[in-house]
Amino acid sequence: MSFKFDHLSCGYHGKAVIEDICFELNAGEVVCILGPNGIGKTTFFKTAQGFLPPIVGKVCINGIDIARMARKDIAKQIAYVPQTKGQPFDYTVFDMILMGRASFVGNFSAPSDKDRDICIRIMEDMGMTHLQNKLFTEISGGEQQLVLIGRALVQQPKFLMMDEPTSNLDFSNQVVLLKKVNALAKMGIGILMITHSPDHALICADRVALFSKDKRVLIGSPKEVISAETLLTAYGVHVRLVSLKDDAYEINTCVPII
Amino acid sequence: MNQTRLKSASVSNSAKLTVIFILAIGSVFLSFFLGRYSISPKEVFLLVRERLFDMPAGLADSSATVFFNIRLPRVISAFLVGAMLSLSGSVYQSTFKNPMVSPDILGATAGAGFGAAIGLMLNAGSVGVQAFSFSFGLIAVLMTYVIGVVIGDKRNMTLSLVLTGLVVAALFEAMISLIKYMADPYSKLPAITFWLMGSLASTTYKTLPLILIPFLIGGVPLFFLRWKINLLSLSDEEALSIGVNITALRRIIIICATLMTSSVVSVSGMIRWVGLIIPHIARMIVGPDNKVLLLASVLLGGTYLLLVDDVARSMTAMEIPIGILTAIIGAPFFLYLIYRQRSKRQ
Repeated sequence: MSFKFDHLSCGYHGKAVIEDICFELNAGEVVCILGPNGIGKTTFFKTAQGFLPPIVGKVCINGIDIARMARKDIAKQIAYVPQTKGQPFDYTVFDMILMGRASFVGNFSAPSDKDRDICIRIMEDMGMTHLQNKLFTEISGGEQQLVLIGRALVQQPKFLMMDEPTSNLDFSNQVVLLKKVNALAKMGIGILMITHSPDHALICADRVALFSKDKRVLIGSPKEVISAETLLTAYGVHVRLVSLKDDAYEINTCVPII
Repeated sequence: MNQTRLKSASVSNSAKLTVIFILAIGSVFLSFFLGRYSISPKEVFLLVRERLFDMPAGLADSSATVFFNIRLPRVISAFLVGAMLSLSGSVYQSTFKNPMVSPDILGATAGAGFGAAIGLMLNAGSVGVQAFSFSFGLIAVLMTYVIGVVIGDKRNMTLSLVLTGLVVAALFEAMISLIKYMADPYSKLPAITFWLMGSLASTTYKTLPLILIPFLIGGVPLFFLRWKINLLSLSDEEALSIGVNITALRRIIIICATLMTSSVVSVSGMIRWVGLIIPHIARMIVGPDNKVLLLASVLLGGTYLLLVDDVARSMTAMEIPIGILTAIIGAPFFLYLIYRQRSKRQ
C-alpha cells in the first residue's frame, strides 16, 4: 500500500507554485502539511487527488499513475475530508454519509442494504448514531466535520486526505479530532493532513512536510522539520520550541514570540 | 434499533407518497367532471363502459365527443405538462446546487418562445410552430452549454452555466420582442402574445405524443439516476473525491431535463413558476433525497397544473391563459419561500 508523489510540481496554467514534492505516504502513517497561506498546500491537495494535472511528475497509488485511473477506483483508495461549509439542501446526516458509498453503487441504481449497514456500523464506531436523523445543516461545525470524516470512511479508503480539519473547531473538538486521527492511523489508514498549527503536527504526525516560500518542501520527522529556523523561514515568525518532560509524557510545543 | 428507526423514516415517506398518489388520482377524476360542459361521474362511468364494452350509454353524442375528444386529452396533457416542468425543475435545482433555480435557467423557455414566435410569424401551422419551438429550445440550451464550457471557469461550471444561461435567455427574449415589433399588429402580434402567455387550450390527441414521448425518454433515465442526482448537490471536488463522474452525470441530466422543458413549452407556451415552486413543496413534504423527491415532484406537479387548468377553463366564460394563473399563484408563494429561508437562518 503506497500513495506516492514522484517529483511532483503543482500549479495552474503551467506555472508551478510548489516544486519537486517527493515522498511516499505509507499505511498507518500520519503526515502533516504545514506552510503559510497561499503557499500551495491546497493546490498540492488538488493535484494529489487528480483534480488538477501535475505540471511535472506524477501521483501514484500502488504504483499506478492516478491520471490513468477511473474516479471510482481512486475513490476506493483515497478519501477526502473537505472543510465544512454550507449545503444548499437539508439532507439528513445519514443521507450525507450514505453518499460516500457512491463508488460502490452501480451506474443506474441506489445504495443497497449492505451499503446502509456499512454506514450504520461506521456511525456506531464514531459514536454519532444519535445524529443520523438530524439535518446536516443544523448540527454544529464540530459534528459536521465528524460527519464528513464518517462519509470519507464509508468509502473504505486506504488513505485519507484532510484539509485543515481543525480550523472550524473549538478546543475540545480539536482534541476529539486529533484523537480520531491517531485512532484511524492505528487502524492502518495513511493520513495526509493540512494544518495551521505546528503543535498539532508535533502531537500526531509521524512526518511533517513544510511548504516554504522558495517553492521547496522540507520533509522529515517532526523534530527535524519543526525548528525555530525553519518556522522563521516559512512563516517569518520567531518561535521558541519548548519540551516538557516528566515520567509519563514528553510534550513538545511551539510558542510564538510576540 | 437503528435499523428500525431508519426503516420507520422511509415508511413515513412511502405513506406520504401514497397520499400524494391518491390526491393525484382524485384530481384526475375531478377534472373529468369540471368544465364549461359539465359531465357527471355517472355519465363518465357510462361513457367509459360504452367505449370499452360496447354497451350503449344512452347519452347525447355531444357528451361522448366532449369527454373523449376534448376533456380526456386535455386532462392527460395538463398532468404531464405539470409533471415534466416540476421534474425538470427538481433535477435542475440539484444539479445547479441551488433551490431557487427553475427549468428556464439554461434558456430553454426563452429559446422555445422565440422558436414559436418565428413559427407563428411564418404561418407554419400548429405542427410547424411546435417544431420551431422545440428546436429553438434545444438550440438555446446547447448555446448556453457550449459557451459556458468554452469561456467559463472550469472549476466552477455550475456558476458559469447559470450566468451564460441568463445571457442566452436575455438574447432570445430580445429577439422575441423584435419579432413582436415587426409582426402584423392585427393578426400575428395577438397570436404570438397569446401563445407566450401559456395555455393548454390547443392540446389534443395529436399533441399528446409530443409530450408523452419526451416524458418517457427524459423521465426514465432520471428515475434510474435519482439517487445519483443527490451527489451533484455536493461541491464538484467533493463529488469527484467520492467517485462520481460529474461531467457525464450532469450532461445526462441536462439533456433529459431540457428535452422535457422544450417539448412542454412547444405544446403549451410559457408556463412559468411550476418548475420552481412544486419542487420546493415536494421537498418540504418528503425531504431533499431525490430518490423519493422525483416521484413526489412528478405527482404534485401534475396535480397542481391539472387543478389550475380546471380553474383556467371553467372559472370564466372565456378561458384564462394558464400561464397567467400560475404566475399569480407563484409570485406570492415565492415571497413566502424567501421569508421562510430567512426565518430558518435566524
